[in-house]
Amino acid sequence: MEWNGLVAAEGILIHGRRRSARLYYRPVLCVLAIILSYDAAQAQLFERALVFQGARLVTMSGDPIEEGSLIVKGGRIKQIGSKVDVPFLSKTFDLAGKTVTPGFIDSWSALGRLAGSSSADPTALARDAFDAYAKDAFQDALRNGLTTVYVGTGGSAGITGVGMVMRLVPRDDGAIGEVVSNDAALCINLDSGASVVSRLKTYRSVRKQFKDAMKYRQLLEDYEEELKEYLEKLEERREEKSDSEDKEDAKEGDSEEDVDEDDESTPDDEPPPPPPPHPDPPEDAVDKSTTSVIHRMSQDESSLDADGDDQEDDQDKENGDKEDGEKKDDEDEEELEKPTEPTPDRKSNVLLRAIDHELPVRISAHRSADIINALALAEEFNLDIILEGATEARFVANQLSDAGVPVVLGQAVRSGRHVDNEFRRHVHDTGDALSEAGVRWTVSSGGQSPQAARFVGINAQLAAAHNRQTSDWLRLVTTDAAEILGLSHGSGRLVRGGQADFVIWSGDPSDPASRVEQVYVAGKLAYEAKNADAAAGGGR
Amino acid sequence: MTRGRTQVTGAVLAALVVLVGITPIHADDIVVKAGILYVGNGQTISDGMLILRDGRVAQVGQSLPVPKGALVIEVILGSITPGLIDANAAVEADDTIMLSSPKSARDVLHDFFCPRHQRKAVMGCCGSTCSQALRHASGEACSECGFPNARPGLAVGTNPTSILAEDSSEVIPHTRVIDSVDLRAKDFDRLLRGGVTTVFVAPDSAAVISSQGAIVRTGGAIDRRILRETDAVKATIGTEPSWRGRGNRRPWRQDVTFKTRRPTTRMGVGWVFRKAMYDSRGDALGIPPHGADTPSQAAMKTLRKVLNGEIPLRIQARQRHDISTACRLAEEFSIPFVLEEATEAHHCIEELKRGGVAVIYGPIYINAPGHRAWSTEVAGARLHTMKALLDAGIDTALTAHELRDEDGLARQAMYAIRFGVEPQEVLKAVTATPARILGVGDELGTLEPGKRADVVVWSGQPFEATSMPVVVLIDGEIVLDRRKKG
Amino acid sequence: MQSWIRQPGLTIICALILVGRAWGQFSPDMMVVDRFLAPDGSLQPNITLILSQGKIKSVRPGKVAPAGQVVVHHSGAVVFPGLIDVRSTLGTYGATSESALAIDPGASAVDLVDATHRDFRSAVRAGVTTVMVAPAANNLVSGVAVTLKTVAIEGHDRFLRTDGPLMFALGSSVWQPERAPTSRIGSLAMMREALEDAQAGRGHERLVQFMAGRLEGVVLCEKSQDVSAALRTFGGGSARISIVHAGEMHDLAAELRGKRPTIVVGPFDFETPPGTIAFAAALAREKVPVVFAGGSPGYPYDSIRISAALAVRYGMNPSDARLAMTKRPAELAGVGDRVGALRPGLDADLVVFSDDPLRLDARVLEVYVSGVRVFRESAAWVENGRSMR
Repeated sequence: MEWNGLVAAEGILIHGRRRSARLYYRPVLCVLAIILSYDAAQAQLFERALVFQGARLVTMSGDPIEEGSLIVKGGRIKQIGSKVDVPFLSKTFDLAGKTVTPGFIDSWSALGRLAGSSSADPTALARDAFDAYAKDAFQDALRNGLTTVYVGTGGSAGITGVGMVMRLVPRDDGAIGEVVSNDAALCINLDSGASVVSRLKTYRSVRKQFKDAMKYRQLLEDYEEELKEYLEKLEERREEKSDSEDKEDAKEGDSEEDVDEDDESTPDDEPPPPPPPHPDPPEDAVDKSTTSVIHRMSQDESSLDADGDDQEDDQDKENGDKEDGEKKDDEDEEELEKPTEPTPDRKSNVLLRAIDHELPVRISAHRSADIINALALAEEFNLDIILEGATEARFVANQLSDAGVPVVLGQAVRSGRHVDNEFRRHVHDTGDALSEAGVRWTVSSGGQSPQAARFVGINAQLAAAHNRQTSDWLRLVTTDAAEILGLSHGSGRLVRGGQADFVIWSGDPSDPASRVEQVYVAGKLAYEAKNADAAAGGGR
Repeated sequence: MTRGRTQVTGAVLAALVVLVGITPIHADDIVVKAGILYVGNGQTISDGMLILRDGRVAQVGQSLPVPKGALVIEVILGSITPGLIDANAAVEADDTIMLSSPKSARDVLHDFFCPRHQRKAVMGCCGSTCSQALRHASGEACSECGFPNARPGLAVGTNPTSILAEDSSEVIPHTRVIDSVDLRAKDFDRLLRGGVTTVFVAPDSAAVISSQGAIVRTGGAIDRRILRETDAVKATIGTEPSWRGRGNRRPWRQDVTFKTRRPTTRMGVGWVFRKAMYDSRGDALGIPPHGADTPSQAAMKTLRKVLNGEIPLRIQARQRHDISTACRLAEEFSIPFVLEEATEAHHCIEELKRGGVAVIYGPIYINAPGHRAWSTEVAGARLHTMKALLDAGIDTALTAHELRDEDGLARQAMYAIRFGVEPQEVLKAVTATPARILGVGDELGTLEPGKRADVVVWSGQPFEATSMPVVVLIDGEIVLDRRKKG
Repeated sequence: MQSWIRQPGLTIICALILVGRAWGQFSPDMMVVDRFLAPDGSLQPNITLILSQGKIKSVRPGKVAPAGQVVVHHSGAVVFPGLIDVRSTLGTYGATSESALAIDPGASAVDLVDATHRDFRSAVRAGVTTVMVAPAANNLVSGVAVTLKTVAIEGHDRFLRTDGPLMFALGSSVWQPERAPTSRIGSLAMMREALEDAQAGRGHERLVQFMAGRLEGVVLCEKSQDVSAALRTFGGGSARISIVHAGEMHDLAAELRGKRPTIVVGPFDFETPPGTIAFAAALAREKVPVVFAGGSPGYPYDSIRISAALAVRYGMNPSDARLAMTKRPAELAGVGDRVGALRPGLDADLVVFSDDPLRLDARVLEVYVSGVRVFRESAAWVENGRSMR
């Protein structure tokens, strides 16, 4: 900006003199231009609310609203009801005759899981195996009403990692998926399909890992205490030393030996020098095992001598530092060892979070024996568990009810052939047995097949057909699933302030001829029928 | 002022309506223009133009009047040629090994363990193109002994890449390769993208007298893809038909199975051929055929048609002595034949000229691609063979057989040009000559009025390394369009 | 000593049980239901069915004066003909085809089926009352299929048909070790030869009848090229075929060229790609008769309904879908004059659903075979149902 030019052109002096309002146009405009060049600001300033009117709103929170209206802005539902205040600058859609439901939730899904990925490590993340660019798969899922999925790690046995919850939000870069929670649950698979011996090994290994985690915690706690003690003692010593140093000042100049000797040797009556300010000396890391606090000194480093129980070092000390007469005196003094910090154990850290109820635990078990084992695990380590699969849950429904464990069932109907695998005792009406015992349950796609995820609504309908105590299949894949997954109140429902994840059907979703016309996730149009390529992009 | 504008607009609209009403519109016409038009018979037209109507070529020339309503396709810096014709294309099928996948033959080999010989064996399959590629079970086929029970779709025999089709007999001319061809296979798309519009689907060379081929278009509506359901019968002289029987030789084979058979040598191959022909002839004269390897009745019926010339015969032979054998056998039974592959044909020029034999030569290589790599027949391959054949005046067509994409027919033509053949001659070798050899010369092969509208528009000169097909039309329908939109 | 006293006692008890069972059979004379499957595939309201001696005597719209034992279903219930599964292997054990011969028209699937197999009862609970069992696709011509009901009712035929249709197969499963053919080339050459011979009157009786149009055929096709080959090979003459194809062919319409063979699709499950399901819908739009295979017991017994529901979700007309579960499979099996529709004279094989069976949350309320109630959704049956599995 050429002030000078402006001055010259307008003949007005600015600095401290007469100013004209017109002079301020340019800077103000420039500043505005800078602000508006950011998309976010633009979006906030210019985003129009979307108003959907005249549809039957199945809110799953109270009775459905006939001919209701829905206002969406900023990815949330701003208003919902029979009558709404339509804001200025909004885009209105007339949905007469259509039905709006919340987006479906698949509470045990494999959608987007890349083939061949399997993990057997508590530190693995399901997020890392998620293919956000599998557009066709996501389009088909959205087409069938699915908007939120819990995806586990899909491992075959043991503690396999941490699962995540994902919403199928379209992103600008063409990918789909916005993570709701990167660590939604610890995944454990008790591998009910394997042989007895394998299952035994799996269970033992899971228990061992948890026990190791507890031990690790104990180790850490011990270390903390020892460190505290050590530091306190050091403080004491230092105070002593500074006292005795005053006394020794006079003596210092007489002993010439001190000049030639190593700095490591500690002089008579003097407390050992405080530990150097740099981090731990390397030799502490050489010994990997941390089952006990081990100390080891190397001869050429460290300012501290070994404790008396290590004879070798004592010998070396005696042999090597014979000229250091002061050392003999050190043996009389009490030695301080810095406690060795236990090697960080990331796996145990994850398990400790589960033990502390910071991370729910999902256990995949089908046989009743494995379910009992899962419950035992939960009790022993005080875990907050959700049971997946649970084919034979009807035999242990009371135990599940007593433990308050919710259940996520897989596919409602299975092959009629009698195969001797984990599904051999599958019946269609497990849900009824669970309902009678008071166990919370829902259905999912089964967590094995990415393709099956899209039909979770169909699966729910089959479950409702076979379990007479369940009449409303929509509940299974909306509110029940949201509750079991621990999602926010707005998930699985259409409520004010909740997430704008909803599906627009051409008729009643139970009617087979009814089609999904549009799907909105986080207020953005994620799917539109007959124009399935127009998935990305905002709902403008 | 506004009213005046409205009046003018109205007048213009009215005029347009009248004009449109009067002028004849040929909505079906397509006009194709490019820098150079190669008719295919040696004629070159710069700034050439084609007018296509109802799936046929209506007019060819320079600066022709463009009919109203015609769709104009123009690639200014490009050239137009007739659609390429591959007279010996090996098209993939699930039950025939195809090594047309982009990987080299070695890459698609799978290891497995042969329990009989307690060693690791090697088996080939067609990698990405074979849907049964992963259905291997250990013990399926040992490359040493040709352990039986190999599943169809997998290579068997001592040579891991032997092509396997109908295993029940060495003489199967009554079968038709069209039954194996999947018209929806991606292989046809690859051919199309390389500018090839018509192919003769070659039967496999695992049998001595193999199936009847078919002439198929590589694109267009599925019910019009098959140009001719049954065409020439293919025979093979060389080692390939003896690969399946190699396991019969002691001491490897211990029990007799369905796959125990002759021949195991070149002698046997020749013998099977002659026996088949003799038996067919004899059967017609009332002499009952007998002995092992008697062809089936249906086979003999078809062979009689070959003998009297109703069905043409093609013989694949690579080495010079195999070519000689082929010529000799054909002479013995007085059957005209077409020679395929003819790797060492440069040694047999006189013989071929004398026999009046047409040759479908190809592919051109130094390092033999695909299954030929395991054959001992390709050591004599030379790069100047095509030139030698054409210079001698022998009717030669060029083929890429199973090679595709960057090794496809256009690239083969480029090699031919590089190693001495005149570009126009090469173009004929991939358009007019194969059309003539296949007997569809009056419908395809050149861009002359009345012929089918199979046109390829290249981005530059047709067979240059920097050029590729941009627009391909089959029967006047655009089946490939790589031009940038808008 | 007590054994000889027990013997007559046992006999009396057994006799009582048998008599009780006969008395226990409930066979209504009349059924009044809110909705029913009309001949065009739609659901129409208010129907009264009058049953007599295991057959439907008449079908009357609206209310009729009750006579005899009446069963009434309200609250939107739908009465349907019993569902028919044409690709079933219920009652079979192990291998279901004799693969030594490539062409084996003499075999008959009736020899494969154990009619007392317990799986039949599970099929009934899903509403499937008739199944067609065919040999596996291991031969070019594998014999004739058998069509039977899933429940045996005293005094009524269980086997609806034992002599047809004739089963053909094309595809890689036909290539068996140690015999020809080993490729599609060989398969089709052999097939053509056999058909030509049959046309000329030579060969097996069944093939001759097939070529003469007196026996219908069903071709099991593995890939779309097999379907093309089937249409080409069986095209001529009076031979009538239906095609079984589980995949998709988006350009099938062009190949059909005026022919309208029945095409059996499915069964669809949750792994089926969307293109395959949409293909079924596209076929129906082209007015090609479609049948949904059930695949029991390998696939869940609900598979016919699941396939239908998915097809409707992906664009099929609901009426076509309902006919594809009932009338068309009956016609394919050649028993259209016995089952598959609510028409006077047909067997009273009925299923009462709580809602439109295309709605997968509809339950099976009652099942009747030959007019006798064989399943009823009640607490007792649910208990038994569990123990049956």
